[in-house]
Amino acid sequence: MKKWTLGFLLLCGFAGLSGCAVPWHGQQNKQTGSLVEYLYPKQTTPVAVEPAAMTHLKLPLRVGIAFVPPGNMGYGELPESERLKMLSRVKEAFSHHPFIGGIEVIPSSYLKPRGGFENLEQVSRMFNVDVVALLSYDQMQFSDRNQLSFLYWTIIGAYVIHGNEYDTHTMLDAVVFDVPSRKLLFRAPGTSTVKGAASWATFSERSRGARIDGFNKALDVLIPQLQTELSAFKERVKSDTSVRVQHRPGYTGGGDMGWLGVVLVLLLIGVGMGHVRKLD
Amino acid sequence: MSANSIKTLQPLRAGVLLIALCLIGSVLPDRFVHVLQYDRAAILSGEAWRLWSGHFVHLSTEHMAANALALGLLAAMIAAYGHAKKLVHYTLLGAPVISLGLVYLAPNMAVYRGASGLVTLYFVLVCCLVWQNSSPYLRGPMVMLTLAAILKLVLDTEKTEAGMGLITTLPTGVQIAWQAHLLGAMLGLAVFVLSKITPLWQIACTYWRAKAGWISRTVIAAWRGYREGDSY
Repeated sequence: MKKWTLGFLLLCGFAGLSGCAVPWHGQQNKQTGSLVEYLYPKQTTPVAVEPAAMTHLKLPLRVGIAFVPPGNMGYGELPESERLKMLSRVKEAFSHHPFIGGIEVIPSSYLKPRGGFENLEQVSRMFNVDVVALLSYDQMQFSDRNQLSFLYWTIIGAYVIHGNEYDTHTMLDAVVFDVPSRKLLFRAPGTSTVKGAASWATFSERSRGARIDGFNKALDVLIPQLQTELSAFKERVKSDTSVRVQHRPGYTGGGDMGWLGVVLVLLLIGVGMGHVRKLD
Repeated sequence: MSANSIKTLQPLRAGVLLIALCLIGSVLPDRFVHVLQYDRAAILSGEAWRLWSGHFVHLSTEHMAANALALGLLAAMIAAYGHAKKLVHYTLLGAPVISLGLVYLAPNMAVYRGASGLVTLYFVLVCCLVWQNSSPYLRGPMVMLTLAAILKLVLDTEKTEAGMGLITTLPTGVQIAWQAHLLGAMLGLAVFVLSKITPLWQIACTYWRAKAGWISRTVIAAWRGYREGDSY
């Protein structure tokens, strides 16, 4: 009888200890901030194509930057402090342009989920900006256990063996809108993939860090792309008849002869030099 | 060194000196450039040096290169006509007059950089000097050049801030300060006409030499007083 009892207890103990090593199906963690969902919340049919409205860009531009409000309020949402840090990085990268008068970082709490252009217009008035750069995002994190997770039953293994893996795919998309005309001026994407592994005990912290890391790496890709798109937009504006550039009080002026002026000066020197030689 | 070689070197020195001033302005760190640029609010609060220094700082290397080249060549030309000393006076007098003119004519322009006002002043002076001394067969090309310069001034008044290749070397978002060109041209013409009326010119030159500092201070103080009484 004692043998049977001892055997039963050992079996229970083994089963209890190896509980964490039972087959574990992978998890998915998704967070999105969809631009379409935010700007066109009630749209069930495609937006009708309208004749291009005139866009008046008043220089120096006052620009606002914000994250699109999240579509899901699930586990692992990017903290506001991280959002503000990332927006500050974008601000720093673009503040040196002479045609940008100021960049306002707009906290997420000012944007209403599914708020539409009405909400965007309210915010632009509140922050006194004409152009808003909205950062939409889509992040998917897959978590799985690898074969080493079998060693979790040793208890120590749960702390030292990296038996949990994560795979984080992030896409950030910056879309720049002229708020009064609701016109999309230009956009640029940034993507990243972060892979890693962690022990059972540290997995939650590591995977959370990887999600933030994924956003930062996508932003590293996005900023140069946005600079390139901005340069292309500056060129495009010259020939785009639907965009008109104006100056507001407090603009920067340049005393510029241009190369055409230099050509005129050279012609004048050419005419004058012959005469100076004659005088000598 | 012979008198002849000194005469030959003078235009070179004048041109190189002005180009060097522009080059120095372009290699200075941003915080110094901000102290030197024409800043309307700062000028009205008494930072008078900006009336002069704003003409020798620029917005980009290309902007500086075009202006410095034109300024250097025209200065050398004026010196070659034997007006090397007067060139100093033209610059010292012309720079603040153009800046003060901008304060009045372009109240919405907060910041200005560039030597084109001075370039236009020199351009008109050289045009007048060549016209005065040239033979009749050169008058045709001179008229064409003057018309081209006027056309350029008109083009500058258009919204060419987006950059039109030959017309502007300014970075995007910066507007051409055509008022500086207009002021420079008018000043150049006025200086030349005054210099033809010899007694008046001599009186003006004597007075300027004696009272240059006082005139600048008085004009700024009067302007500040006017602005404070008017709107602040």
